[in-house]
Amino acid sequence: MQLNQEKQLQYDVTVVGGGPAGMAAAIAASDEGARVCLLEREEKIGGILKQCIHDGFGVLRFSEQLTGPEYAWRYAQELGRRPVDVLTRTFLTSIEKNGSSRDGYLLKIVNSQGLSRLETRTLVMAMGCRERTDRQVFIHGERPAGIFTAGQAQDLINLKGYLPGKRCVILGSGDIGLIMAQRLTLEGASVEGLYEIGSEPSGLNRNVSQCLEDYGIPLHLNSTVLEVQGRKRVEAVTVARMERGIPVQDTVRTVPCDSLILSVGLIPENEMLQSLAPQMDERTRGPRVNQYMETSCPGVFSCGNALHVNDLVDYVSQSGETAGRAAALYASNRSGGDRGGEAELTAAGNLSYVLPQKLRLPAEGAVPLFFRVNKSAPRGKLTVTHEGTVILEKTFRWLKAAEMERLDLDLSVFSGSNGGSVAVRMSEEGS
Amino acid sequence: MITEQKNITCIACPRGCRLELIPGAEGSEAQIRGYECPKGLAYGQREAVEALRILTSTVKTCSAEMPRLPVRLSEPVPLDRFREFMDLINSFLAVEDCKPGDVLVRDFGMPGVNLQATGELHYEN
Ligand SMILES: Cc1cc2nc3c(=O)[nH]c(=O)nc-3n(C[C@H](O)[C@H](O)[C@H](O)COP(=O)(O)OP(=O)(O)OC[C@H]3O[C@@H](n4cnc5c(N)ncnc54)[C@H](O)[C@@H]3O)c2cc1C
Ligand code: SF4
Repeated sequence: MQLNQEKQLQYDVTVVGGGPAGMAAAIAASDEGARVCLLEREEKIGGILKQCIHDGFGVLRFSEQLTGPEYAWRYAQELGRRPVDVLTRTFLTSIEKNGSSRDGYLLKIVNSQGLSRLETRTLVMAMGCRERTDRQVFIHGERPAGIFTAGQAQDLINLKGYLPGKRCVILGSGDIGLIMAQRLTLEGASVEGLYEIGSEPSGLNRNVSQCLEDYGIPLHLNSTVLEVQGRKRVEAVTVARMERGIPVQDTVRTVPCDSLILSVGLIPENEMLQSLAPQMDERTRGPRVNQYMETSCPGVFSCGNALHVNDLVDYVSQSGETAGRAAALYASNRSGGDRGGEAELTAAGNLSYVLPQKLRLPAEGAVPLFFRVNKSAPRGKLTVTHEGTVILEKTFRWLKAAEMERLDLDLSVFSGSNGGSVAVRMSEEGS
Repeated sequence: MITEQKNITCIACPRGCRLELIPGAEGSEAQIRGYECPKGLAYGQREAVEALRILTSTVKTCSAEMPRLPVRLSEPVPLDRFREFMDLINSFLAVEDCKPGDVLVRDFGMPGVNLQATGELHYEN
């Protein structure tokens, strides 16, 4: 779209990020009648899905195993049919409050037309997540060429058609690392092994099976890369089995390779939000939200991987829809946001987090609760209590730290109460 | 049918049992060990007969903006033939506009298997 320099851009809903979360949010907000703008820094919308050429997307939403680009394309088509202003190659550079609390926000954006200002009643943050890099994991030695994050390797191979190395070692067993082990192998590189410090892979079983076992790529658990060797280019890495944080003497080995690929975790991208100082959740590393995906800043919503790292894109799209619709209702003063109260959710027992962290009450219908366990367990009983009274119980089997779980909470159980504390606990027993 | 022992993770449910596939004598049915339920036994037996997978990759284009087009095979194919399929895929050049779902080559390396675009390619003029 051509930006008109003369006129100040004004929208009801501005979505930041054009991945699956942002596209779903923009579609939902537009369908509620809002004037919507979507900002994307890249040339094309689609987000991370553009480079995820493997299949396994959309099983819940389309009952099909789509590839990432196919899933993104379907949403981009839907978005194209709506009167949404999509600004690509556009960076959001700052967010400020615009007057009093319900007046919304003032954004500065930069693109080929220069710097523009944009006024918006609400914001939907859908900027995805970024990868942890070698600066965030402790490895000795130089930093020669040949160290990539798994996402960078994926971008190089799948979008640019360039093989980052011929002999690779992968550190970490996140899903992107597993998927890249397979891609590298198919493209003719040899993957010497995958080293994971934990006692179980951090990616999904399906990926361990179809990306490593299918190709005979060894997975070394309780192991890590201690040091990188090579001055200009990676020449080898030193690996070892670890016990209580210390390398086991006779397991220290040198593995010759020309590249080291890191798949050591993802961090929700929320830097832009800092100026508004929303309440953050230190476990998810995203903002704390209620069931409408609204943060503690009025009119600011969060969804997708910016909110918490998801393993299924279907849930990402769903959170985008919820956020987009809620933002549109808020912008037209239809959300009834100032009535009622809020209940606080806390995760306890073998749970690393629960989302949403707050519930706005009174409200109708059911809210999907998403949670992740700290450690895998053959079974666990989930108990939800409100002010000490049990309101929901369910037994789960084969819980995996790598897999997000979901359970619907029917809000009618709160009849009459507009607040209080809700404890969500996963306990070991329960048969 | 497998000819040597294979250890795999069952993916028929989240439990992820370790299965051992042990080849039977002279082409007879493989023996499956380690499963905890009938679903796992069936999965192991299928994998022992023939491991079928969907292959996805990319092909070259003449576009500077989009040097690679993502593609898939329309049907699952035997895992042990992936190398051949990769060679075929790597020798294909996408010279025409296409969108996800378009068939690029019919009967690609195997009757009934098509090479399909999963991305959109658009050449200027
Ligand atoms: C390698 C990999 C494999 C996966 N495999 C599967 C799978 O098999 N099945 C499945 O269901 N799910 C899978 N997932 C999960 C799922 O794809 C992701 O969770 C989902 O795509 C995240 O969507 P998002 O919209 O939140 O983020 P993203 O797709 O990352 O989109 C964020 C967008 O925001 C833009 N942006 C960021 N900052 C700014 C800014 N300041 N200004 C403007 N724009 C900005 C970015 O350019 C990007 O386009 C996988 C994820 C990865 C990374
Ligand atoms: S064998 Fe049965 S229980 Fe074990 S992983 Fe397979 S389906 Fe699940």
